[in-house]
Amino acid sequence: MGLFKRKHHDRIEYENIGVKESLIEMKDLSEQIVDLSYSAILFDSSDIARQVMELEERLDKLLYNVRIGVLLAARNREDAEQLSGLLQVANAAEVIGDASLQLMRLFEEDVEFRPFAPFFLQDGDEKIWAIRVAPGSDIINRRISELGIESETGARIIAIKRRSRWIYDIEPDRGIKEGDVLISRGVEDGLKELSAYAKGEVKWGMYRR
Amino acid sequence: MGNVPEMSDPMKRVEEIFLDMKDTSEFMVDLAYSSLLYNNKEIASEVEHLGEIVDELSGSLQRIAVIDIGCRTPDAAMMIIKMTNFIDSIADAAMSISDVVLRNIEPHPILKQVILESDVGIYRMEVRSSSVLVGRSLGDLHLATETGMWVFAVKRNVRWIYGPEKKQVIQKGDILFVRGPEDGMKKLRKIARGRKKTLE
Repeated sequence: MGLFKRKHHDRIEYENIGVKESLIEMKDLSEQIVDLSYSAILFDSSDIARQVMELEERLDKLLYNVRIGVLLAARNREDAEQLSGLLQVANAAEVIGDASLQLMRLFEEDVEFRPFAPFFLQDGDEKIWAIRVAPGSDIINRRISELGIESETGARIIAIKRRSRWIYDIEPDRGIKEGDVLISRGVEDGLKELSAYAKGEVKWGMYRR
Repeated sequence: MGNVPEMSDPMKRVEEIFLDMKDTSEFMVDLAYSSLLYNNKEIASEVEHLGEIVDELSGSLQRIAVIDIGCRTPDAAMMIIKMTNFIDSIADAAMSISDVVLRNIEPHPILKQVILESDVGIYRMEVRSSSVLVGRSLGDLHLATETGMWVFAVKRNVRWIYGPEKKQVIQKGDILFVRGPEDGMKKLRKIARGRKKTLE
């Protein structure tokens, strides 16, 4: 309980990071937040749910940035018409954030949804798996970018559970450690490949044929 | 799943409709961004059309939840309704993105840069006659596992194939609309142009 208590009436600080940068971050976050929302339900994880909440707050803040930036940029009617499209796209990203937050409220209502949550999410075109990195795997101590995990397997790492800690900012230079649990999204074949690499069953690059 | 076998039938239907909705909503977002990237009204209209489909699916799903599931397991019904609302919002967001294109105002150039510079890019590429992709089906090619790229639409002459199925065979001149990481895009582009003769 109280997990989702929001800090009301906090003044949002304007951050001068530019409309374009804010929008790029918003687009990335809106995609990440959907994956994380499904993951939170799938793995019944209030840790992931808490991260969804944080991302949503970030989206709020970025939307505010975009609004201010856009208002400052409009000089005439033509400008305003074109710029309104930016607001619309930024708003769409924030709508996705809000919807994710609403969904995460399941964690604070005592909804007993556990018996049927996984089936919802495990049969679509793309699935979400939790893949543990076993001691013998040769992806250990290598960076995500160096391995090119997504272009190699088609599976995308959404989050990493490292011991009791969660890592959500999956930057390309992020290294993989033994025992990591890779929360990954992709088609089943790709997830199977990544899983075989992570278990150390096959050498990295094996599926390149 | 195991705890509630007595409602497997309506649950089976829920599962089918739910997955259809989930895949369609994600596909709508991809299409919406590509309509923006290429200032393409045809794609934007398809997003609207898919939005109507999601609306209908959402209605049936909520009805099943209330009538067939809610009487025995209200929590399960609640869960379904919440998930439905979530997907509805994603579909709405996609429609409001593509709506920018339908306004007869050229989208702001920043929007194109935003889509191109984000983590998951949207790209299009033409398949040349010399490409190894020609004559092979999507199911046979496994582009997602080989290149990390997901084909979500194909333009063939004047016709559009939205959400192509696995059995869809690629022809020369097809324009593929794909989503994925930049390095995967570069690899696939070489293959589509016929410069790279193998998929690996």
